[in-house]
Amino acid sequence: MGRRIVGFFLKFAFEPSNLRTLEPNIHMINIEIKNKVLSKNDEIAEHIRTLFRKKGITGLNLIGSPGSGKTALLEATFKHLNGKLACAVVEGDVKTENDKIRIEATGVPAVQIETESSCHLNAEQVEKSLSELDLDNTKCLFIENVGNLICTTSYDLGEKYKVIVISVAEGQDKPLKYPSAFTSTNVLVITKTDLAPYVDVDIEKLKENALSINPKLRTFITSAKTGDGIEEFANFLMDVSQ
Amino acid sequence: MHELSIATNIVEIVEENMRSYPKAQVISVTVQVGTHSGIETEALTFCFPLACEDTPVKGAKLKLEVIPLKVSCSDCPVRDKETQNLSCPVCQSPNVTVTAGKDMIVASIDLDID
Repeated sequence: MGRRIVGFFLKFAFEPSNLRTLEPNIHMINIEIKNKVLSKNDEIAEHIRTLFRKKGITGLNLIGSPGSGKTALLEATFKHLNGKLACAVVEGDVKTENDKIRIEATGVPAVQIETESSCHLNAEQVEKSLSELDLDNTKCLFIENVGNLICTTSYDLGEKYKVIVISVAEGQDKPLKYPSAFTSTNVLVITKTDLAPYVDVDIEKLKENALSINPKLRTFITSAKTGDGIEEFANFLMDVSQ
Repeated sequence: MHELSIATNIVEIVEENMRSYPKAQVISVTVQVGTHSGIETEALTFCFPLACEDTPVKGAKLKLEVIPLKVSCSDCPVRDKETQNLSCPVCQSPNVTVTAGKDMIVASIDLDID
């Protein structure tokens, strides 16, 4: 009986699989960290938020696919506002100053960030660019992010409102395909409604799909080309920029 | 594709937290990834070894815990419950607060201090 117990013990102790599980634990320690991966970005975003609050600026972060009509929406809105609201724009693109030039042509100051290869803006880039704008004379500041519906949702830029811009040509099921973009935003602007008859899209269904992901989305249905819905969007900006 | 910069951030956080163990080898890094954090887990797993190159974290295994979207409801007693969208999974109210699923968190590291 005693030999059987000893034998069992020896068999257990020298079983290769048991040695493998016991051995690595001897010098191993576990350190709990619980640190947000983007904590540094979030910290700078918080500085920006505080700065905006102090200066009485409403910050809006525009996200959307490349070509969704973010710049055209701003151009049409600024033309409609006709100087009634002191706006400024931080433009984010991989390359070129084209969008900065387009915005400045409407009489609104703009600064361009060229990200070179990055698919999104981060808070550090935005904070640096703000020194080029006259913040004391700005009430409403747009940050037009790089065209991308995934990466841009991860980065807080210190904005008060995250605005998602989606053109009718992108299809009515876009909100269902990119839910994280819609759970990160407060405002939805549907653009290019003048194209709806040509791209076989049901705008109401598109809106319904977006609201099924985030029922609190404030929605605007616009066309920069015809001017439809631009007044409502401009009025919203006036309301939130007190 | 911003997973390489995310992976680099993770490596920096690990390095900051292993300063007391300069000779230690990092066996694994556990990261919690929210399903609505905008991160593609496969791409992150692919990028992680690249971000570890030439750092003390080289050779570490990345363990990912996927955290679903969870909300608490203002209109009914639901707290910290899993959901697919920003409404209460029980009473369908839109008045919810997200409690999990939007963040990426470096949870812990396993070090070999031999």
